Order: sequence, then C-alpha cells, then structure tokens
Amino acid sequence: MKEEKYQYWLHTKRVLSYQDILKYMSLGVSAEEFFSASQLFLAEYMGWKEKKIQNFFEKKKQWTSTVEEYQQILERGIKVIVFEHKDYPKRLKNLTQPPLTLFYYGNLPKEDIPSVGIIGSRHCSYTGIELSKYFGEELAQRGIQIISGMACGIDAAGQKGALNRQGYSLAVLGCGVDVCYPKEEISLYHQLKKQGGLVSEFLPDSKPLSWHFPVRNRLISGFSDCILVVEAGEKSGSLITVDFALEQGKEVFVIPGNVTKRQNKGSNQLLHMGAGVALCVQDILDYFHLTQNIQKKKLEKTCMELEEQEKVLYSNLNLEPKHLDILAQETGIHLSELMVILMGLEQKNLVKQVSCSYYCRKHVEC
Amino acid sequence: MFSKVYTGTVLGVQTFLVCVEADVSSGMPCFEMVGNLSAQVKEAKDRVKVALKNSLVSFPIKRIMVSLSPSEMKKEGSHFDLPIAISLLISFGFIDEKQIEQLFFIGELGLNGQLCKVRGALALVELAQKKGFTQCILPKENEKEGSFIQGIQVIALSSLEEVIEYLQNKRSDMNQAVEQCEKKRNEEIYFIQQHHECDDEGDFADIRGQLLAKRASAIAAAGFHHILYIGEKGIGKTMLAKRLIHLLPPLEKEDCIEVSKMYSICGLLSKEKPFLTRRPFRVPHHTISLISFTGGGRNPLPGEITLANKGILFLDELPEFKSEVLESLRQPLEEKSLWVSRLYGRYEFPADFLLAAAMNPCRCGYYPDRNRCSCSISSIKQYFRKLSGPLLDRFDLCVEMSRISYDDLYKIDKQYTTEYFREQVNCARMQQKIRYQQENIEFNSQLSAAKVERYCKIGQSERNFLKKMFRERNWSIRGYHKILKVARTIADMEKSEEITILHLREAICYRKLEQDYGEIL
Repeated sequence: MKEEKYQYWLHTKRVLSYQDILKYMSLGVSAEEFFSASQLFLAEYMGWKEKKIQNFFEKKKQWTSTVEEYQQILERGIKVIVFEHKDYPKRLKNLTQPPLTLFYYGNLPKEDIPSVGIIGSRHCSYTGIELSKYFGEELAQRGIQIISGMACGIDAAGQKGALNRQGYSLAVLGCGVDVCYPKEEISLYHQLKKQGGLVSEFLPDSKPLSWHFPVRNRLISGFSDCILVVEAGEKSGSLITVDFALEQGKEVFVIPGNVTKRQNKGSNQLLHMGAGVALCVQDILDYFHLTQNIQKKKLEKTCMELEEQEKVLYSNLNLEPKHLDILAQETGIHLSELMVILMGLEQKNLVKQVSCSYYCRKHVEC
Repeated sequence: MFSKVYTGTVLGVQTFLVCVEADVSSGMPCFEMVGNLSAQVKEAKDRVKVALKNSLVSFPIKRIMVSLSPSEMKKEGSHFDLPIAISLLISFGFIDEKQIEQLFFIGELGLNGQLCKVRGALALVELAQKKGFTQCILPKENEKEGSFIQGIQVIALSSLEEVIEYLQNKRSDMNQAVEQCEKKRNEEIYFIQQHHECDDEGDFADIRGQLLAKRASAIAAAGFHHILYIGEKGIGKTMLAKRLIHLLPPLEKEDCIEVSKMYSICGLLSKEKPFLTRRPFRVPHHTISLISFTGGGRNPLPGEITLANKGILFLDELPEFKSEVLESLRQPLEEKSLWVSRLYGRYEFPADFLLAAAMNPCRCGYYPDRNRCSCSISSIKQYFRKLSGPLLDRFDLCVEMSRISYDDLYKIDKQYTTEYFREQVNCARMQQKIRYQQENIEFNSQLSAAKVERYCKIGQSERNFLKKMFRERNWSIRGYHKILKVARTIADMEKSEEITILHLREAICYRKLEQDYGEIL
C-alpha cells in the first residue's frame, strides 16, 4: 500500500523529530499528502524554519531508494508496522517515546491476553536458570505470554520454558530482527520465529551495538503487563528494565535469592526497595486473578516411590551442580554404586548430569 | 680386487640391508663413492682415508671405487665408516674375504681410527639377526644396546686396529664366547629391570581426595583407555597422570625390543640406559611443533607419538597445543600407526599409546561453580571449542576433579594407594589375557568394531537400556563402542564374566562429551 511506504519513509529516514510526528499526526493529513506538502504549508502548520524545510526537500530525494528498501524488507519475510497503523500494539502507544516503526517475525503479542516479562542477568547461577525455566513453563501453561530479550542465561531460559509448553513468547532484540544475537541462541531464535515472535525497532541488518540494549529494554517492559526479575547482579542491565517498568507504572516481582551470592545482589536490593515478592508461580498468577495447574503432585509421587538410597542421594542434591566425590563423602555410598543410582534418578527425570562429574536436581520445588 | 661387506641403513623406523662393495683397479688414482648417499655418508670418505692412515694402513695409489647397494635406497647415518674401511682393507689384501663371512659391521670412525658410538645400533643388530648373520662388530659404547638382541653374537671393539686384529686372528673358541656373552647379557637385563622397578616416583595416596579421578585412572590403566582430566589449576591433574604409568603392566620382551628400537633410532639410549624395559611416559610441551610431534623431517625420524608407543602420551594444558598438532592425533588414535610420505618412500610409524590429557574447564578454571567462575557462557564454549568434536569423541573417559577442603589436605589416605588400584588393574589384566589368547591384542580398548560384538556380549535388558540411551544422548557409533569397551573393563576389574547394566551405567557416566560444554539447558 502506498500510504505505508510514505509512512515508512517518514519514520525511518529521520525526517521528523518526535515532537514533529505528534504535530503531523494532529494535522489529520495522510503521509502521502504530507510528502507532497508545499513550503508554505510546512512553514505555517509545522512552524518550520527555512533550514528545516530545505532538509525536508533533501530527504525527499531518498524516496526511490527508500521504496526499494521497503520492498526488499517485505520480500525477506520481515513484517513492518508503523505507529499510525490500526494494529500497532496498544501497550506501546502509551510509552513516552514509542517506536515509530516495528520490524517483526512471527506474531506480536495479543492485546487481550496477559503478558509477563521474565528478565535477569546473563551471568547467573544454575538455580536462576532452573527457576526462570520453571516460571516460564508454568506461566505459559496458563496461557500467559512471555516477553524477554533472548539474552543468554535468564532471558533465554524463561523463553525456552514457555516454548516447551507450547506457549507464546516474544523476544525484543537489540539489533536488526534478522540478526541473531547472541548467536549461541540460534535454535531459540528459529523456534521463536515459528512459535512466537521476534521484534525490533532497529532497521534490519543493524548490529547489536551496546547503546541499543537499554533502549530496547523499555520495549520489554512496554510489552509486559508485569515484570518478573529472577536473578540480577548489582550492575545488571535488567535493573534498567525495572526502571522503565516503574516509569510505565508496571508491577515488578522479584524472586528472593541467597543473600551471600553475588548473583542475587541486584534482585534482593529491589525487594528492599519495595518490589513485589514472588515465592511461587501463584504469586504472579494472583496479579492476573488466575490459578495454577498443579503438576506438583506428580513430582511428589515420584519422590515418594524412590528407594532408600535414591532418597538419600536426592536429598543431598540441589539445583547447583555437585561433584561426585562430594556426594560420595556426604552420603557414604561407594563411587561406582553412586554413579549407578544417579543414572537411575536421571532415567526417572529427577536429576541431570551437568558435565562429566557434576550432577544437580532437575525440578524446581517452590 | 673386489670385496663385499654387509651393513644396514635406517629409513624412518625400518632397517634395510646394505651391501658395501669395493673395487681396486689400475687407472687414474682416485677414491669414489656411489650409491645414493646422503651428505652425511659422503663425509665417510675422508674419515675412512685418514683413519686407515692412522691405523698404519697405506692407501695404494690406484683407482678405488666403493658402491653401497641397493642404490635406489637413500643411505643415511654415520655408521658406514667401519664397513667401508673393512671392504677397502679386503680389497687392499689386508684381510681375507673368508674372515668376514656371516659378519655384520657398524661403526663410525674417528680420525685416529677410534670406533665411535652410532645411532640405531639396536635396530641394526636386530636386522642382522633377522637376516641370519651370526656376529656383529660394533663400537664399545653400543655394546649393551646391541647385546639386548638374542641370537647373535655382539663383538664390541674400540678401534679399527682392534677390528683388524680380531679379523686376522679370529679365535676358534667362538661358542664359549657366545655362551659367556648370553650369560652376561641376562644378568645385565635382570639388574636393569630391578633398578627400574625400584625407581618409584610417587603413590596415589599423595594426591588428596579425588576418588573419582583415581577410579577413572585405574579403569584407564586396566583397559588402556584414553582419559581426559578436567579441573582447576593446582588440583593434581599432572600428578595423577604421572602415577598412571605405575598401574600399567610391564612390557613383554618383544615390545621391549620394539620400543627400544625407536629410542635407539632417535639416539635417546645411553650407556646407563641401553634399552627400555618400562613403558615410556612422554610429556611434550604444548609449544611443540607438528614435525616433532608426529615425526618427519627429511629423513623421517620418529616423533613424540611414536616414542610414546606402548606407553603413555600425556598432553598437559590440552587447549594450548597448536590445533594442527591436536588434529594430527586423530589418525594414530584410531589406527595405532601413522604414515609419513616422502619423495623416496612411505614410512609407517607405530603409535599405539594411551592418551592422557589435562585441561582447565574454562579460563579462570572454576566452571561449573558459577559462584566463582567469572567467565561468560560464550567464552566457556569458545575455550572448549578449541578442541574439535572428533578429538573429544576419541577420549573413552572424561573426569572432572573436585575441589578439596583444607582438612582433606592433611587426611592421609591409607586405603586408596597405588597398591589398591594395582590389584584391581591386575585382576582386569588377567581376564583380558585369558580372553585374548587367540587374538593379537592385549587390552579391551584395542578391540576393533567387529570384535566388540563378539567379546562384549550383553543381555536383552542391557540392550534395551542402551537403545534408549543411544537415542537420548545422540551417541556416535564410535562412542557407543567405546562405552561397551569401558564397561567390559569395569566388569573385568570386578571379575564379572558378564557386562551388567551397572557396568554400563558407570561407563556412560564417564562420557559426557557429546554435549557442548557450557550448555546449561
């Protein structure tokens, strides 16, 4: 549609500053009309000086190349949505500086279904990963949409959890929507393309520059109805997302962590400042007036049916990986027997082998 | 007059018979040597001339031609001096042809006629014995080395004059000499073996804690499996690898000769240690070049992997090795040998060694303890990515070392000593010896894919269990066979005829390298 091309040109070629956009929108003219506006019109209705008008006419010369660019983007399968469009996400309309153009794959979150942003450090503990995954799974199970940034660690774990339960998850990227950053998460990237959504306000092919990330964080909190901070260090980028969330008036939930571990310093500090406490999934569901599908009973049953030695071993394990030697010392079970019992627990899906000689529990119980 | 003297040459790690022919005739006075000679051998001409002069042998003013045949083969080495000198002496008429029947000569000549030490004496004496020569004349310094070969009398002399004297007045009481020689040699070997056995370099109990790593080391030694140790710095990885050699069984006689031959060719044998009776333990530094590692050079010499043949090759700080060096390991690990091609031939170097390696889990060394590890996930993966998947796949056992507490440092382990593990290893050895009586192999790890089916039989329930794991864990066929072989070794250590699920489970625990290291979910 021609109108969309003009809109695309207006937004992406930095023709208008943010204030100017609002002014232009209040005029009630279409983008096409605005494009063909005369100097008089611009001077009178937009209040522009000579220089700015000249600049405007200069930018008009880029029209043909912009149209080509736009066509190419569409051909690559990238969807474009502009601020004026009727389907533009309502959640973002209220931001102080909403993105004027969004590029996305898959689908954007539905307006009438609740969404939760799961955020945290990249440099996190195993417990954090498991918790993030668990919350992602349980919330998606109840149909909640999970929003995050696809970063390594907490973000990716939460999103994978959601996809595991055939739920919806959106990743807001700090680079072009066709660039996969971080590249370790390439399989998650492809899954989200199919099952969820990938969105970015930056032009396709944009590199993941460091200043992009705080900027995209406002969109993570923008798309979410509330935020869950799983684990954050003292200087984590997720704290910036929390600031945006507070600005936007969104509720912030934090999972309390071990006070001695540096990975929890930031998130515990938030609790200190008055963030909501999330001790279990129900705490978040309460915000949306929903209840949890209780899968806990199955886990409890499996644990009850364990043999004596398996119980002893299972009770000595937690979410953090433990070395076999330490387990042997703590339980008094001989090494070769220990390995056999652990394999048995692995078969029952209670335990997993993190690396050659380290084991940890698989399931979160809270 | 025409004369013929026999000697040998070493190409790569193989020896070939060489015939030195000399002819003296009338004509323009000159001294020529032909026969595809290397620069080293060409120098012999001058040395021999001066040595003969100093041994009071006058050079006739005639046309002298010396040919080393077969001429298609490149001649290398400094041991041709003596045979050339002898062949000239025969041509000059100083020595009778009949005196050198059944004799093999090797030795370098000093300018004063002294007989000097040569490289590869052991290999050449073995060649002589195989070709049916009854006596071998060599330098005094190579006497012990040469005496190691049975079935040939070794006559060690120290100068050209002595050689001439010996040949001119050959004693008829040769049999007695042979007997005395044999007796003396057997005593020497016994003495050296004892000496090596007592050369103890430490016990397993010296390493505190690390039960898992010790058990894995015992399994590696019992079945000759390749093992990778992962752990933070200063935890005992190198110590453990060094003690691994104590658990391996002693070398058989034929293997002693084979191993000693390699060392002889490289010039690594000495007067104090004329041959090897213990398995070699090679620890190349991680800055080693490809040629020194695999072997090569213009005249191919064995590299570290051939010198570790029948023993242990320990690579400390595995990711620090050059990637070309690590990749060169792939073929030898599978085929137990390495082929080196040169312009004038292809040489096969044996490389049947136990690969032990040690590395840190990440740059800081603390992974997977995320509280102390300050590396990002990508840098952990990158660190491990230095080792290619196929190389990691070739390790049968992989074990991580745990962190020990301060109290553990002072706990003296009375139970888990070298003796404790040696008992288990010997038990496994007995089982393997009986099992592979008809086969040409010693250890479980040497089973080929076809033989694994035969010797590592498993029951139906075990088969079902493995089927499930195969799907879940995405093993390669090689990985699958390795698990069976390790399980076979574990069963042998417990004197169990059958491989049960317990053995399989333990074997599987030691193999977690299929997955990307650093992959949390």
